[in-house]
Amino acid sequence: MGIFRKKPPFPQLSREDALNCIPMKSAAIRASHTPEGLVRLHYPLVLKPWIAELAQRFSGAPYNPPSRQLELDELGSLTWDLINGKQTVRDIVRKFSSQTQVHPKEAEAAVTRFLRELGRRGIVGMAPGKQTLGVGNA
Amino acid sequence: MPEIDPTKPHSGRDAKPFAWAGIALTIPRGWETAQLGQGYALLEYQFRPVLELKTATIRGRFSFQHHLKQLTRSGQKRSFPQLKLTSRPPEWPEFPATAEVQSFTWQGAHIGGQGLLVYCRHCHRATLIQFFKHGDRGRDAIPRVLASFKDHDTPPGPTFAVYDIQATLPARFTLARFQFDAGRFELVFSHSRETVSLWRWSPADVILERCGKKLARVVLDNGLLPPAVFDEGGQPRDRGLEWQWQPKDYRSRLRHIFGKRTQRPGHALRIWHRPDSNRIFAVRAEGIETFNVFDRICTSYGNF
Repeated sequence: MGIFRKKPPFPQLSREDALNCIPMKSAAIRASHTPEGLVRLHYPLVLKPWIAELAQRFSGAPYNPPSRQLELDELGSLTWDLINGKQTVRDIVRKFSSQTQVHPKEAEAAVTRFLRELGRRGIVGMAPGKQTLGVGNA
Repeated sequence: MPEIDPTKPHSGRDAKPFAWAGIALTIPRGWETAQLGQGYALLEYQFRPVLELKTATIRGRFSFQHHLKQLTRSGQKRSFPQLKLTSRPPEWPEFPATAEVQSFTWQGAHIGGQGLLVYCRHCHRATLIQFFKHGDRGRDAIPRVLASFKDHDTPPGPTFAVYDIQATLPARFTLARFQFDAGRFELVFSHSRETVSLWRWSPADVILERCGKKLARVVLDNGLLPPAVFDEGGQPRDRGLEWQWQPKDYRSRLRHIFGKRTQRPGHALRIWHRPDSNRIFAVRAEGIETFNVFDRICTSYGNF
């Protein structure tokens, strides 16, 4: 009775580990800049596998997921430009804080919320970063 | 921001004030506010907790055992490690004779701490301060932080100094509510029918760009004024705008009729832009007796 088996819980990341993760842009994303200098993202809509399967069966043709556009504001565009596949979330927070002169705690809240939202849409993923040694989490 | 070693003694430019829930400290500049609550504060250094503060006014008889247990467990979801009562470390400062002090240490699976419980017989306030241990880092800062500890206003200091903002209000005001969102801070103080609200927005350049570079639009978008008052237009004041108006409710009219000698309480709002720190500040006072009080609050309010 595999389907009734309790799913194993997701591993809990500490705040320290989460800040050490490296945001990676999805290869399926196309980014362009508007005349105002803002970033516009074109990304494929992530559908549940069974919905994608149904869509393919009914259409008969190879399934192309619908795409969406997302225009980032000034601060979102700044954060997007800081994601380069090398910098950790902590590095991005620090740079965001120094470039916008916002308090580091506000920068952390804003950047992590933004990355979480992009992750929910499948626009960015998180690669594990260098592990913190010798210090526990709060 | 330059990296500051918290192990070095802090003074002058290396130090900054911290004040919350009636407790005032001087802390190393590298320590940041991480979390605030009613009678609660957590400070961190480089995303790691360094200091936790819990405070409460004690009604009735004070018992070290009882209140230590109460304060250490409050807000804890998991079981808290066993506390070990210790004698005060020799490098820690002495407290006034009106204070009862008990030091303690604890060690959890990943992190440990040491701190003390202070009970002031004068103001009946019990405060638990604990410092988290990350190796030996930060331990040298503890005596200086403790030496700056104040739980009542002697000498008077800021009413609050958290994140990057501080202000001084008359002692009669108490904190009614607060909200710290990324980009927007709001604190509301009240006393009887008087209310003082303080706001801070950041980054100002982005907000002003969205508002057509007009502070009045920030006032309008955030609903800081009744529409009729807003339409009268604000007077330019100190790189900002100010509105003053009289309440038109029945209570105010009755007061005006029956107590002509007393001055009618007024309302005022001031909003200003600080380009050097890229912040916008606003103060609104409702039902204040004199505008001097409002002016003093505005002068004291700012960032550090």
